[in-house]
Amino acid sequence: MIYRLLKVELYKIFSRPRSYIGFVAIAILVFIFQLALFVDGKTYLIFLIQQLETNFSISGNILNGYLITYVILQTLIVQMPLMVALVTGDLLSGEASAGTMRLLATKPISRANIITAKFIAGSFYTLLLVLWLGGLALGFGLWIFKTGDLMVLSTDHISIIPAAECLWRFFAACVVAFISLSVVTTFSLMLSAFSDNSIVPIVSTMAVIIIFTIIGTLDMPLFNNIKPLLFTTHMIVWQKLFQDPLSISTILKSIAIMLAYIVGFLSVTYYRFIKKDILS
Amino acid sequence: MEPVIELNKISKSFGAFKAVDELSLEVYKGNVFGFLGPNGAGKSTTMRMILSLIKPSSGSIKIFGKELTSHRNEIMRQIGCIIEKPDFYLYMSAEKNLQLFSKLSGVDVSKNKIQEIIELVGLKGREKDKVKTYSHGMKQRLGIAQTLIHNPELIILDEPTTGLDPQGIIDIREMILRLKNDMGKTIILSSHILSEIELVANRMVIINKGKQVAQGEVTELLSTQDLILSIEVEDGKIAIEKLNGYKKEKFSSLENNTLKFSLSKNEIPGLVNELNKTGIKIYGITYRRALEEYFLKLTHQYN
Repeated sequence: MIYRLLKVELYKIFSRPRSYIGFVAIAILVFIFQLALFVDGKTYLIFLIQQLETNFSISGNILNGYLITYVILQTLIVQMPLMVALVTGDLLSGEASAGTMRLLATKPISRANIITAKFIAGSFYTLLLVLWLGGLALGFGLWIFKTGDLMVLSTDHISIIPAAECLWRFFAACVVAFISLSVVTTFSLMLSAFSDNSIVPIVSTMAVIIIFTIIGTLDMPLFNNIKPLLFTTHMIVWQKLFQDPLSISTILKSIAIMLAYIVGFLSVTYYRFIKKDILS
Repeated sequence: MEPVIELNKISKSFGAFKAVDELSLEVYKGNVFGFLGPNGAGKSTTMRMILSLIKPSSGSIKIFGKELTSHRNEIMRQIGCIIEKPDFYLYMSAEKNLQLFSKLSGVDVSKNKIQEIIELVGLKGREKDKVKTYSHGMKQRLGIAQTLIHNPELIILDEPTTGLDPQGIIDIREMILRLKNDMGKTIILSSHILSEIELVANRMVIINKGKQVAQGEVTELLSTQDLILSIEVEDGKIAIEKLNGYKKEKFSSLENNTLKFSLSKNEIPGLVNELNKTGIKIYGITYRRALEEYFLKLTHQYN
């Protein structure tokens, strides 16, 4: 029955125009970025590395597909939670506001299965969105800008990732980004279980992410203590995959914290939805 | 005969408000069971409890002889329902909605069967259109189609004629009778209109403020043995004087020159005859069954 339910949930997601907003937005942004970097990339790069060139000799194809992909991921992944929440925040509350939850909940399906199917369908959507972003950025990046070593500039150091290592790191980055966005998926799904109006969970998810992100950027002693507890702190851990040497323990710790959030949010969703009186 | 539905002292409270208060009832196979009550009486709450949308605060529900809590999915496979208003995925066609809901009911329904049901509810030719283009009446028809698509034993219809035009109401009524007479389905039908229940139901319950007021065979409850007779005359006070105590024990009130008596049908001719003898002008005579009168009072109280 869960397979049947999952097919129905996926059909529902992909038959709604709003589900394609994210894909279209990503395609447009990737195109704009690549066009801009194709036209003005060299000037931008000279500006970035002019300080470095006083101490280092930099040669080769620096403005390559890997660098373009990294820049695009760094810029766009921040916007991804909105695209994810737009669909997943609506999964339960959308049914409640449309009145279809009444019908769904009178079918011979347990409420736990309804949540499971919606969670899997929402995660599948999130995965597609991440793969779409990664695939589009990397595919077109390598096609237009060719390959080369990836130079990542941080505030206190430079990492040079050999071209041969870039592909698996980008793949790993997509997996970690998927886990990060799954936190958003489950968080908005949880809020969705508490509301009969789909706007509330979508807006609340975004509000929480914005508040946590702002707290994360403020360098104050009070906030420094709570930063490690905020899921937004760990959502950018994919960037650590492009540092040399790799800090595996830091990455794994962040993944574990995000998985704990996912389990926590899902548990609350199951508890709330199973106990809930459906009055909509 | 074992009942299809057995409610045993079910109650539901929302905070301090008691929506349903120790309600017990039995619905038998092949019957149309009417659920009657004014708006806010607790009809929808009771139906939602039967459909496990709401958990009762106390009491137990047995359907097809099994406890609802422990056999929920098995029971739901045999139930089709419309609760409050039929809502669908507006961005899909009627046909696609029916396919999805039949799948969710655990049944693979053929395209021919879907077409058959669409034809039965009178939506032939519009099945490919998105539901967002449908009128309320068409959605109501699609709602009925959705309840029948997996061929359930028990059909629960919560105010299915709300918002329909007179022809739509007649169509739904005829469909309910066909489902009962030709297909042997058991149907629970809620309404706040007594005549709607009376025309199709065998048994009924009347509830008010969550409590049962009356329950039994429709013919017995709406018996013509106990009538409220209203006679509008030229001058009510003089009419009473001139009747000189005739049927005094049956007289109930005088309002705007309308005399009200509570009596049986065969007592009416005698009373009218006596009034004629007094020479008082009679402008009109109407009667209502006692339960009808009571129900009207309830309805007025809440509207």
